[in-house]
Amino acid sequence: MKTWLLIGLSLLSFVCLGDAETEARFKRLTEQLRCVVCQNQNLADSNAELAIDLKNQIRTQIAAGKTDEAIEAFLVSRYGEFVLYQPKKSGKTLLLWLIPLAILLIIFIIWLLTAKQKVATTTKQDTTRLAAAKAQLNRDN
Amino acid sequence: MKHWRSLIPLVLFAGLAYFLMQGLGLKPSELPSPLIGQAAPAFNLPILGQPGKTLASSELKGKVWLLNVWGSWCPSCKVEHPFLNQLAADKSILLVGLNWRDRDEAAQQWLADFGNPYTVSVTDPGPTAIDYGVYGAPETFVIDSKGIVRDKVIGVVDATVIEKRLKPLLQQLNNEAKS
Repeated sequence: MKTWLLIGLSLLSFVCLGDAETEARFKRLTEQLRCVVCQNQNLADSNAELAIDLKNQIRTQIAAGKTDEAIEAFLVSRYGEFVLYQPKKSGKTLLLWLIPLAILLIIFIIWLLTAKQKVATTTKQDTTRLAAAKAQLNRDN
Repeated sequence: MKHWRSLIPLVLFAGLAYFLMQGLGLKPSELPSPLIGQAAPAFNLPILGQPGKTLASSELKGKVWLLNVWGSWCPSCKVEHPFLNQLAADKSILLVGLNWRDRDEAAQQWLADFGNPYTVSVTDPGPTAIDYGVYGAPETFVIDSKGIVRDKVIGVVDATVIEKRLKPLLQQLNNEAKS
């Protein structure tokens, strides 16, 4: 009797654990996906009818063993990349990542060039001043 | 030398102003559909008002058609309805209604009250609309003779949209279908 109870309990805990994992996946996914009806909300927070439909769809797909990527791809192919709160770093969004870097690089190059120029002029000034000072010293002696 | 340097801020400002002005014209609520240029998702759905009969999207192959998503619960659809009736006055236009998340009786009552512009209407409890990336009614898809989605109108189809957008495109697609 006791053994059966133990087996039953361990089975139950296993099922519960499995559920917790699915639930965590579901939560993570819906928090990262935008509700297209109320566009500044994620799916998890939205109670729009379409959001509920989509959440049911996600649940069914998780149950069917689809990966997170496959589920995201399913939604992107229908609603566009806009549904992802963290768009992929490729395609159109690549430009967004590269432009700031490019601007930083350009500023750095400009700074480097002007700094070089400045050093050159000050060195030139210094040498003339030094020569003048030396000349004056010689004269004074 | 000094002269052109003093122009830099002005040029930068003009550039910035141009891009910000572009932003004013955007409609962030209108999502660009990834479906444009892709095959229209297939469906096989019950026809509204004809119990037991279904319409499969494959039956529409070879024809240029419009798919209009509507519901009797949708206020903007009511605004759109008279324009659809106008559009439907041209009998050569194949207008398929996708009655989305609606009750059949309510939908049929709506068509009885305001007129039926649809060549045929099918009822969809949800999944087909998700396949089409529908996120609000009304939405209207233009599908060519090869079954490719060519355009999607989000929101009300009004006189301007019909004259400036739908009719020229339908004309073009019909010509493509013939050639």
